Amino acid sequence: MAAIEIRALKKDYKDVQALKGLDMVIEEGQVYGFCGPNGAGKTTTLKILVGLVHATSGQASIRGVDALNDGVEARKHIGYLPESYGMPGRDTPRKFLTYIGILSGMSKTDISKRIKEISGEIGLTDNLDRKIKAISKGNKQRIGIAQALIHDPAILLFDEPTTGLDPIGRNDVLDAMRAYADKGKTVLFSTHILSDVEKICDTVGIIHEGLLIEEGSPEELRQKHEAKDLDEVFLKVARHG
Amino acid sequence: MDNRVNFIAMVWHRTINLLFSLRGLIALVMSIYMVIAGAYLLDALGGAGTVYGELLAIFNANPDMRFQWFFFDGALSKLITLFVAPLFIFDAVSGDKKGERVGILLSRPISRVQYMLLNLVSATLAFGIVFFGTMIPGYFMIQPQVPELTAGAYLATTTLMFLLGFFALCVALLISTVARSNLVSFIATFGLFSFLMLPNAMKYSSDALMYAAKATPHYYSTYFTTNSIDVGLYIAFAVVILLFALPFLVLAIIKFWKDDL
Repeated sequence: MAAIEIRALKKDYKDVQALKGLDMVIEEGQVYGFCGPNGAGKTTTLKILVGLVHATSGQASIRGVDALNDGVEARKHIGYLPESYGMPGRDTPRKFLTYIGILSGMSKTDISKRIKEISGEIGLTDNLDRKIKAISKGNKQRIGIAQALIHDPAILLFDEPTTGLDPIGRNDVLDAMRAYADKGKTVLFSTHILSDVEKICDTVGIIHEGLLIEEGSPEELRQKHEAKDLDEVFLKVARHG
Repeated sequence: MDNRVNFIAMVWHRTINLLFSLRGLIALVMSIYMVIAGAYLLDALGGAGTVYGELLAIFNANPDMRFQWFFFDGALSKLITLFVAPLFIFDAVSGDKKGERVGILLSRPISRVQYMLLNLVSATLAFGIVFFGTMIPGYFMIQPQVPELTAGAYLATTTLMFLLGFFALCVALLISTVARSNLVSFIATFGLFSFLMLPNAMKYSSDALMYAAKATPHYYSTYFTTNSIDVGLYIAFAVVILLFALPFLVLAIIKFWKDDL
């Protein structure tokens, strides 16, 4: 069973067709880099999978569950990190994560255990009881990742998770994503930083103007397009549509 | 891990957060002030020669005006209802959108309807705790001055005021769903309620205003402050107030349901 399956997915906004019939299948345990220029439809795709945006037509399923018509059930399998997001600055990460855990249907005991586990894994332990507003951007991103992981989902959807981070923060996030895939989880992350993709992805999908125009492992794509890196692949593919 | 949503736990967590926040404190202080003012100050403020007294004489020449009427219908408990209730909800949706929290919250296994009901129920609960928490002690302040005021009548009219508060919450939720900013939501909510209060406050001035008042839930929530309580009519009016609220709640849910976030 595929972790994520998308068929002929379309999304029309008032004057823009963001997705024009997207087809994608992501197998379990993969790190899938979802690349494309700004406005290509990456965020829209992720938002449709999470249920934040309504698809115009098509199908999308998460581990066999219809994500468009049974979103609540599908979201049990998803941990989502939006591109930009806010957290209550006066709360501590522990309090915030507790609320997210409650919204995820977890008991207080499970939440406490899980907060301890995750904060150890992603290096959040020292900041758990500080006010969020006093925490650095890199560590805020750790809280963002922690909220996505709180209910131990099988699939992680991260929208531009490394944008705006310094090299150390970026590296930490990439390492965390790879580590979760190594534990059997599926990671789909959108980005336009292709060196990130090259570093950790099993498969790369390039989306352009609402359609998936190229897909394969980084190595396959480099060979196919006779390019020295993914940046070159991306430029060739995007320019020729 | 079992991911069945525990709605009660979610509501309770949010209610506690609302109560133990700056808005919770403001709501409590406003309510205490209004109850104390209702019990001890309005008699003096509404006397002949005062601005408030003049306004009452102009707008509301009710020959049956007594302290009990004054307390409920004259302003104070209604002000608690209409200005304190929206405090708990005016930025519920607009705030989550503006603060970019909505993406995280709705990526959990809860439906949009549950999210809206979570906002409404927790705000209703928080408002109820502040409202009854101040109005019930208020009875013991006002009753010695108005011996004919019975606990039953007081509680009955107070409960209708609470339902009016529920109406206010539903309207504020709709405004918060439609508004793009907290400020717009705040101004629209309080502006609308100030406007809605007017016909009822001036209903004795003319027949037209009496008809206008009857088109607002305020009339039904304050009816028994000047009329003796009839159980059948009381229940009917309680239902009428809830029916006023229902379309706003339904519209808020439909609007939010359709939105791309």
